[in-house]
Amino acid sequence: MDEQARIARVRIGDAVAERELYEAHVDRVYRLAHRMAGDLVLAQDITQDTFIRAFDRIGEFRGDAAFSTWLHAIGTTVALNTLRKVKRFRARETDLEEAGGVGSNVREADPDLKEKLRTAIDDLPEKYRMVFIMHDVEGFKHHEIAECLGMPVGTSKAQLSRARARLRESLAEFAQEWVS
Amino acid sequence: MTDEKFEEFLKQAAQDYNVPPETPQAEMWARIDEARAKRRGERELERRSRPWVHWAAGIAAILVLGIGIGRMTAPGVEPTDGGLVAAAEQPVDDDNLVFRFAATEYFETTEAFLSLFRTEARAGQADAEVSTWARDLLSTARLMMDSPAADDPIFIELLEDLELILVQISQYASHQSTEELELIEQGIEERSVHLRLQAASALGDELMAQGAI
Repeated sequence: MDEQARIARVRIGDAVAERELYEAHVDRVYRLAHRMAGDLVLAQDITQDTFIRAFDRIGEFRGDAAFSTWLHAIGTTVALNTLRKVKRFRARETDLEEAGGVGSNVREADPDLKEKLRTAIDDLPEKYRMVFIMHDVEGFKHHEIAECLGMPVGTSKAQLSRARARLRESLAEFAQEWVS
Repeated sequence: MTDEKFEEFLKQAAQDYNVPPETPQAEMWARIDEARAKRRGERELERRSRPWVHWAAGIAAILVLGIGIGRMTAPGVEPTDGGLVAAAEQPVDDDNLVFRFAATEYFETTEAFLSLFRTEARAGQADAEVSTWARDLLSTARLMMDSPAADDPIFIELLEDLELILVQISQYASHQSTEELELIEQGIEERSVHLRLQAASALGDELMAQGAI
């Protein structure tokens, strides 16, 4: 059965078709969720929420874009919203720790390249980080990113360029690694 | 150092960033399935609590089938001068059976709709949804007027009265004026619409009792 037929069956409430559609796309959704969240539980929550919303709103899918693009548009929105909430929650926790004098900065240790890169990616603004991960890590094309994040292709390219520039700046001390 | 070299290095090094483990497909599906089942249950409850939706779905299915078959199988049905009661007493015409059943189902549903409309309108609760279903019932009435039902003078007279009342109800939600409601109720009372609808519905019961359906 092709994807269009499967989507049509999901629209009329076919649970088997829902499962098939899920199996066809879950890996890519979960991979991106995990890359963004860096946490098993959060990645699962984002993935589950993405599919629940997608099935709920399947009637709105008009087929103008590929189903995977439509699904990832939901996924990226869910991920960004979830991470925003988590960030706010963690910021409150950190404030409490600092007020109690028990805070510690785990990033103070001199990191090696991988750790430094990880920290630098973490520190990117969320949309830059999303574009960078989607393009450079997960291999999405700019037009897919643009559709998912609701921005022009030029903006996707510009944000990737800025993300790379920031990372390059952060990794300046390791310049010999890529020069060689 | 060139941009290309850095980009290449970056792409390679970033592969270690938040490396995803194997996708826990079954575990996540179980939770999605549970959430979907819960959602379906909520929707079903919501659907049941909205009688307009329930009726519309039911009559749509019956009428499409009934009128379709009625038109195909009873192209030359003779008019029955005796009306509804006489029709119920006559031997059942097999060719016209499904159509008659569909029509009586429609009358039964419309009778219930009118009762509920009057109750809700008096309580100020007749909203846009009522208009929608009145329009649906109106469309069906017009469809029936263009079918073998129109051959029966009692049926056609009843359908013409219903057409007028349903037009008024479909427009009522946007005005909600007391005068409008009084006119609708007056029309229903003066034309004995409830009694005639009940009689028409009884025809279906009669057919059922005869074992024809």
